[in-house]
Amino acid sequence: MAEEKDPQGAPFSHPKPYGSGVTRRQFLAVAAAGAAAAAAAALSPLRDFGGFPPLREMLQKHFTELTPGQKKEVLERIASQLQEKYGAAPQLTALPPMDGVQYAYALNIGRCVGCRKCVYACMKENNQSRDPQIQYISVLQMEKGNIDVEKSSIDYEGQVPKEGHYYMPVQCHHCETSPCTKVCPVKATWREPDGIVVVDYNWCIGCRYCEAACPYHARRFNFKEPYLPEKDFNPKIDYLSNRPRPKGTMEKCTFCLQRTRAGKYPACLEVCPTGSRKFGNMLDPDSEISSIIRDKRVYIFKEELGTVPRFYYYTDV
Amino acid sequence: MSEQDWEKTDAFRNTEIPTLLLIAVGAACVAAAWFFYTNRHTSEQGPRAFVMKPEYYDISPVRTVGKKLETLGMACGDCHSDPTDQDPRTAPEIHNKVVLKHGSNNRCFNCHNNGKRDFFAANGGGQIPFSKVETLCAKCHGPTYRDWQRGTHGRRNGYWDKTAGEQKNLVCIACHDPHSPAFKPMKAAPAPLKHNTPGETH
Repeated sequence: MAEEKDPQGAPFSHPKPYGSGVTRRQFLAVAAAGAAAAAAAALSPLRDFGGFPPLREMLQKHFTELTPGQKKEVLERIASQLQEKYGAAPQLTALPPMDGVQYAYALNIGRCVGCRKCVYACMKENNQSRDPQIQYISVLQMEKGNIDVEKSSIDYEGQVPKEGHYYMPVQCHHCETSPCTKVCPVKATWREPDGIVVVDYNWCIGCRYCEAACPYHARRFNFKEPYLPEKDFNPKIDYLSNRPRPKGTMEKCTFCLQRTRAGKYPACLEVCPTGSRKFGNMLDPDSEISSIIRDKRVYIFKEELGTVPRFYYYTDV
Repeated sequence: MSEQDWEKTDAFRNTEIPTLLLIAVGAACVAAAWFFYTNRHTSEQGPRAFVMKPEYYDISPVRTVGKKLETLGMACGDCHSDPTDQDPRTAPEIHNKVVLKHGSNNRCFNCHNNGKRDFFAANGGGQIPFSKVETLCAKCHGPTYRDWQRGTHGRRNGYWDKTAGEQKNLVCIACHDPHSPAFKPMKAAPAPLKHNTPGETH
């Protein structure tokens, strides 16, 4: 077709028909259509955009800089947002750290049977997303006689404990020299005076540096809008721990701050059928945690990294 | 380079490159369509319901602890009032069903009080009430009893801060069957879902 328009067939004359029989006009039309489609695809996530957050939320200060009055206002705003979303009226608190309390956790690695009840009690307590599924505790099934976590598995099923294996649940170690808080470019995660490493979900920008820095793989990121059924919503929540997280923020174990700062044991400890999990105040010489650190054979996971965890593994069997 | 070579090169430019460009644009369109499709697919599919069954996070202990020493709802003292010199397991009916897997502790009256059947046997023939069952176990398991008192062995529920609320120590028999004390295997709650946890390397 193109050849007929140019009977001379001069090799360099214009318009030169292309070998494929496509004119410049046709080519540009296809290219423009392709570019439009690509641009539409690139912008398509905007269809999920749910509108801008309220101005007050955007202008909210860092949690540690809020005055008591501002804190009250923030809590009221978040509580009303959550009530709208989940139906139930939440009891949103911002519990302060207690004086003279340093939390620590110990796990009896010889008694854990790997039943994963801690994992789901944690999910239930802390309002994690069910889809995508977010879990703070990874229960590693380890070969007996081996402490190499690279050879562990987390996908075992059925009756436990399995022959020739032991179990090592791993969660946030609440390190004294926490690598995750050092790398945060906006100080959205920090270590509280009682030893709990927390995240201000409203301040987090979602860069995931902390996830990369954590040697225990303890931090979880909300890649998608977290999905939590209304019936599963736990209304007893705290600003720094188990209030539902927005998309694009980092979350992690907070030693159930909403419980422990009220004097209760964490949810994972309450549920453990073997009594392998121990928690308490390190500064109290009569607490079980002090007794373990003093008298038991204590093992610190990745001690050589110098993270100084507040999470100990021990054994007495 | 000869003139003929130039011609060849330009001929190549004029014929092949537009075709390649067309293919690239076509591929971009296909990719765009695919992105559209997958995006629409996930947003229409909605959240997949992961069912959290209550048994995954049930805090009740593995055994239920009664209030008294009993068999079939009757206190032992209802039938037994006198000491026996027989092994109760040789008696028919109820007691022959008891299978004792408690190591070398294979005599009934090491733990049960032969004279007062509603009680356990303390050292020297004394009586231990059901409510103090841990002191019976402590007869042999001294270090474990010490650890249980400190809270490092066994389950402790409620409040770590005793000034804030009640702290509850679960007794030995809430987890251990006294006739077969080894902790029994149990069914694990489901493994984490693999496909929707980005960053998971396992």
